[in-house]
Amino acid sequence: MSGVPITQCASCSATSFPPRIWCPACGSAELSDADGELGTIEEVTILHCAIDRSVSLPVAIGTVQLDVGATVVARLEGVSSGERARVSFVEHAVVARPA
Amino acid sequence: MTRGAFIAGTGETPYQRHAVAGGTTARLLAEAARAALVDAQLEPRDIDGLGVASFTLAPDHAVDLAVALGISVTWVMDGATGGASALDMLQHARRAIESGDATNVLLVAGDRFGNGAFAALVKGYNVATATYLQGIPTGGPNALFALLTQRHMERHGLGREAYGRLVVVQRAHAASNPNAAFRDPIEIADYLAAPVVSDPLCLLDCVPVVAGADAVVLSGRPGPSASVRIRALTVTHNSDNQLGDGLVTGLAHVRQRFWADARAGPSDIDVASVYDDYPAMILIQLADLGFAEGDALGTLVDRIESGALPVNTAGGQLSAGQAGAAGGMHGLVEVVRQLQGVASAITGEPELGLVTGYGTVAYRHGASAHAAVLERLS
Repeated sequence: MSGVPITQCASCSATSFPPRIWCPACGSAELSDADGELGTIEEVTILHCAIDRSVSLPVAIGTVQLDVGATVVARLEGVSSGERARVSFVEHAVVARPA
Repeated sequence: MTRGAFIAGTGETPYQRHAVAGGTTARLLAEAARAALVDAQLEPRDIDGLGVASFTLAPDHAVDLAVALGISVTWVMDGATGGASALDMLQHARRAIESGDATNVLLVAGDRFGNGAFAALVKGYNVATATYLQGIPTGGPNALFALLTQRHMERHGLGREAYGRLVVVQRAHAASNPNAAFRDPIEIADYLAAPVVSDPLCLLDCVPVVAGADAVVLSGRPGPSASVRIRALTVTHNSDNQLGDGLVTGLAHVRQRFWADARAGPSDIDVASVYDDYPAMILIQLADLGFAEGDALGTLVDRIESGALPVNTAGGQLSAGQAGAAGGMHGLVEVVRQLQGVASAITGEPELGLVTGYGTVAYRHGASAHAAVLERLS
């Protein structure tokens, strides 16, 4: 079970999502892959319409502040603003569920 | 020797909610281009530089359009930053003219989305969107800017009505713009009751996508009507490495240099086109440039609503429509027309105008944020 793929700098420890190639904090090219799993839900929105008819609606979407330091956007399943969540990236979907 | 760079002509097609059957993106771009040439009193053979910004011209690029238009050029550029493309192209076209690489540069932007084309564009907008957002699904940037607007409301203590007042006044401006796609007046009650797209954003917070195109001609010589010159132009890309919350754009980092170049300040601006993909972004860009110093944003909303600071005077994208990559060019065209005294609804006798561009939603928010000050030459 993995979270979202983040990059962590071997020189300065800064973490980034989406993954970077050079560290935005110090410029190092020594970035290692890590997983971001646990975090806290920040703001939440319910998407009600989309121009793409294949999109299944409504869907709850929120910002998740990962404990490792990066911020991701996720589909929320069973979690609300302010709650702790476990983030996964499975079948092309970034999803946050209760931790 | 550096020469000056003057905006010698503008052109804009009527914006259509539904693209006319049988039309093509290239023909739409050509229509705007021809209007700009006529306005500048130039012929195609006078054009020696071409810049194009369009999502739907693909797989063609600027050089292909040069072939279709029968023009040979010594400068070419493909603007690829969406709403920031107009000022990106203007940045480089200006220097081309000042250095002598070209004498008359045509910049054109526009789009015509066929069935499913817009949905496909927002799904595969870039690698980050296709990989991490499409599968949620977000179905485009509306949900992202809904989250951003919530952060903005919380940071500044604003309610939905503040954003609605911007939407309402832009719709009032659109009433006198015959090219605008949406011109019927609305009131704040209409805004507050409009269908929710992604809370807190309603239908009227999201730009209507239309078919259309805009063009300007930049020249080393003044145009036949009142000439407009670039006083300042500042461009930023990835200023925050996408590590911020989107409530501050690159404009905040460059504003001192920008106003120093302009030899002016916010209070000298007579008319402005502020990139309006969402109402919150209007307030964010203006605040970044210093238009809300010491005041709560509510005061800035008051000034925009009353016309003390005229913003998006042809309706902006929120009412005139977003013709794909032409969004930024529309704002540039409108400010030029205001300065030339030929806009649909003139606001006094403006001498200095502000234009902003914002685009490239790299992941959660825009990565490109630019601004220009234009002046009317007497």
